[in-house]
Amino acid sequence: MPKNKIARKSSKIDMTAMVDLAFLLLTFFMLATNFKAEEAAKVETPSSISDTVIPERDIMMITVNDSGKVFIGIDNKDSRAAMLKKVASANKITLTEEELHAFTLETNFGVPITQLKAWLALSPMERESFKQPGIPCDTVLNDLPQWIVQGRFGHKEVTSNDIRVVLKADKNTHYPAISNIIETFRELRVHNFALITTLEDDPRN
Amino acid sequence: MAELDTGGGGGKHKGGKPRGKKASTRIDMTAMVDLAFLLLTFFVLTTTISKPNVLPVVIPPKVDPNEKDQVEPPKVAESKILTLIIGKNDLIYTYVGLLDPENGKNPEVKKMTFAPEQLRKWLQERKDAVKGQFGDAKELIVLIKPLSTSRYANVVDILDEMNISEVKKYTLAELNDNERTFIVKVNEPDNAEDIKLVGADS
Repeated sequence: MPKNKIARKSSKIDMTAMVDLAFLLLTFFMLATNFKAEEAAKVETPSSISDTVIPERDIMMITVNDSGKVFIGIDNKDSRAAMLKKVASANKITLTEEELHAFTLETNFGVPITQLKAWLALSPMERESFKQPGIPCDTVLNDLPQWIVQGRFGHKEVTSNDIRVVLKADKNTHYPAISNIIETFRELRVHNFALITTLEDDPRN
Repeated sequence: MAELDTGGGGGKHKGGKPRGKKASTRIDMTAMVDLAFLLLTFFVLTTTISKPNVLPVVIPPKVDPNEKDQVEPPKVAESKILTLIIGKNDLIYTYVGLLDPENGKNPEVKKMTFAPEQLRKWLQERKDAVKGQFGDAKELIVLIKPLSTSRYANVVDILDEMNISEVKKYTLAELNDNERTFIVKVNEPDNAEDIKLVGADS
């Protein structure tokens, strides 16, 4: 009597197609990727119908979180360094190469000029957990104008392009914090800026 | 895991000479797939494909206090002006023309929400009225005056509404004294707080 053997199927499958697909997607994402910048503040932007996308380069971003704390950042690393050098020399702060390097790694920050050196002296891990107090922006102490001015000059020197100022604020921020910044822009003759919003449907369509 | 699959080749044929082992073209790709998917997951999670959108804003330059008296502000017909005061709890107070009770100018102030059937309809009404009177809806001038208790989202919504309703002339402005007194007088007691705050910024 012949034995009734159950044909054992091989557990191996042909993965060629899957690999093809995986690598295709991998290649796509590698090329399309644009690393998410580490943000000092969590911000939920309001929505608008504007479908203009933010320019690729030459951006100075002022971020305001829901409690009105102000952060500033420039997309270009070298401009950031130039901005810091200018602000430091204007305030007679001497910075070491390490501190300068540490600063270029931060895409945006919100630290008063007086605390700048202490903040840059922290290790990267400590800096990540450090709660940044925001850039002082009131009548008593107003650091924001010099950061904006020096940032513009620094960027112009490094890249010879004009910088675009964008304002990214949380939708629950109370208006005085925003109006304060818009007034600062007006003082500095930044009459042309943009607000970051998320896209919503245009009711006309 | 990382073995080469040699199945299929090299068996002895019945009664024949042993043939040279035929190497299979199949290789075990498990490890490669693992790695590919790992990297893929990493890139998918870190990437930001969608770039944020921006709403361009242009603000008028500041008038130099020394030149303030020399610069004559342009004269505008009152009926072209529409004021929107943004309050808290997503409310809008709006009126046409000037609010100046001392000089007998008491326009009706409407209270509305951001709902399209209220705000958008109202803007359309004003555009039509301006068009009827001056021949062009573009003549409508909207002054947006946010109270201190208003949220940023409301301000963006209004600016957006200007784009949707195709209002060509609009600007962000501060409340004047008449409007402040009005807001205190007319509204709920909790709005008194609004006024205090507004007074504090200016």
